[in-house]
Amino acid sequence: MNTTTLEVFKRLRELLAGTDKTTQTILRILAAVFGGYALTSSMLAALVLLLPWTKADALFFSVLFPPFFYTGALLWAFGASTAQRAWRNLLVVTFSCEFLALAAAWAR
Amino acid sequence: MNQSKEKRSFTRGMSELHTWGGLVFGWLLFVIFFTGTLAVFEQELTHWMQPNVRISEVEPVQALASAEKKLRQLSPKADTWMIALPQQRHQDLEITWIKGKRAVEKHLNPQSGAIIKAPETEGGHFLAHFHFELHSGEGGLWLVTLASIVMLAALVSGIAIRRQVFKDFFRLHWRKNWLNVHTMTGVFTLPFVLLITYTGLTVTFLMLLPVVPQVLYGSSWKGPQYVAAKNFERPRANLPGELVPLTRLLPIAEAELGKGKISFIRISNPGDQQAVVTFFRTIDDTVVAISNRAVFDGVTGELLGSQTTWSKYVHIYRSLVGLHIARFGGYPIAWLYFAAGLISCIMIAAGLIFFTIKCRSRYARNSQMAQWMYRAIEGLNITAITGIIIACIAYLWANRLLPFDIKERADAEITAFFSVWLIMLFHAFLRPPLRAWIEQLRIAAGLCIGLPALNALTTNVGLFPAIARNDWMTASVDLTAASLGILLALTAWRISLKERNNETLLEQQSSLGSSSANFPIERTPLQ
Repeated sequence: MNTTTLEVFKRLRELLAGTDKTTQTILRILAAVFGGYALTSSMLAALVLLLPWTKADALFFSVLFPPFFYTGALLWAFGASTAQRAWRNLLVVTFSCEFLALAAAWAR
Repeated sequence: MNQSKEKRSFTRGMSELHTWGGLVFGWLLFVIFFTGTLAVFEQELTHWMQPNVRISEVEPVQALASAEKKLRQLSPKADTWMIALPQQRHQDLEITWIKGKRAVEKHLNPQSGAIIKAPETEGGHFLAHFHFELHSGEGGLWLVTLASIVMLAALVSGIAIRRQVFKDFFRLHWRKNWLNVHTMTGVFTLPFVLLITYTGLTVTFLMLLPVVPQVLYGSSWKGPQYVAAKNFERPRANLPGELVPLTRLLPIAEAELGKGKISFIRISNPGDQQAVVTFFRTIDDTVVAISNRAVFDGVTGELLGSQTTWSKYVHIYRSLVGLHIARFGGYPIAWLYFAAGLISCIMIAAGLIFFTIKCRSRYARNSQMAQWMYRAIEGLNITAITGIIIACIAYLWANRLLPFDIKERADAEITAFFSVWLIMLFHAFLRPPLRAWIEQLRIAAGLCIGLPALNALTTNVGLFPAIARNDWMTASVDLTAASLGILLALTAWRISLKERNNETLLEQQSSLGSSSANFPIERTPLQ
């Protein structure tokens, strides 16, 4: 790794670790919109792959959930004590669901 | 840095979300809720906007015979024919034929089968569409979806930050200020807003989120309707085959689906040996918004099959859709949704206005930047609230005022809608805020109250002739517009009283020699 990449990486880290109000709010909004999308998608994928039902049933059952998942993510992003914690929580759940989904797909 | 200072409480987070999320999306939400509320009467608005389509009721079989004759005559070689039979809230007969990518739609008189030269209009359909797509396709759909999620979150966070609202509501601790109007209407419409936002979101997410179809179906995905319904369609044989008379199939279809309940018929490959005729049942008397159907071989007339039961989850999902579109209960339910929708609009508007007042008292003496921001917020409030009301009513005015036979009349009406809205945006920023509020409310009131007069002057379906002919679908649009106009006029009058009070207050203050910095900003006009 050369020094420029390291420099960029360091700057980015500083930015993401920002504790001032503007950075926090921007990070929270990003977490709500994109983290929410990722969370909703991965939870749905895990849900439909784990359900031992016909595809059609799983599809129309899964439709009932995205409003809860996305709204939950939004509330979580703004309710967490810091934006970094919000991101961490969202990412942990997203990747766990992703992992569950992959495991379920592999087991099928 | 003190770490504990950086961390904040859950309530503060919720408060921030409610305030800023509510502000940024509040404008959009008001627009969505208002146009959605009008869209409850989509069919009535369309009826009103087609003043020369006034037809007396006929038997379905006669309407079908007229439609069939016209389609055979006009487009024997089309890929698909579609026939929308007259219904209670949709009296004309519509035929559509599709050839390649071109679709032609005509309105017929179901009795004579003659083509009615109706002026082109999108009717209430435009408002219904605008309320979830904002006239801008998938981008608009995403924006509405995000706004709806913020709406749900705002409900939760609103309850979290002001837990005592329920107590206040039931103990009738009602005070006359904007915050109270906001919270009280909020509590009152909470069940409705939850229902309408949740059901709306289930619809848009099925359209937007690719993950479930991708995971389950991959590239074989064609759309939810292909999963929910049995498929009877067949590829074209390219051999000529005489289409069975549709009127002969109608009684069999009615036996299958219910007498007088057929609302729509689709004929695939008419004139081909593989023709398929599908009869769809109306959804106007059921919460489950999915059409039962009976499918026939188009040449032999044999019943290929029917579908009147649906899988449990399709049933649940389409019930949610039914609860959103509010077609299941006739007029009582439609009016209930309309009233609840209007109160929700008041809730959103009161929240926006309360924020502005708070903002004004807090930032009014602050930096230039803060004042600019506050001015922009106030301008956008006016544009989003009174501006959209004026734009909607101007859409109806445009329908009556545009020349009958100009090209692309339907688009011209929509252009009028957006141009008027844009003018209201400029107006809101050019005039002092309070003047802008009063003037726009007066314009809206004038246009609403003037609508029956305009209708009576430009058509022969004015209020009295319509009532005389028992045409309540037209008359109630006039009457509702006029009543809303009176409400708007009263609001304008109330605010102009406040304005006058304020002026006298100012005069008293200046005569007492006090500087304007001592002016009690909390007692600002709209409070």
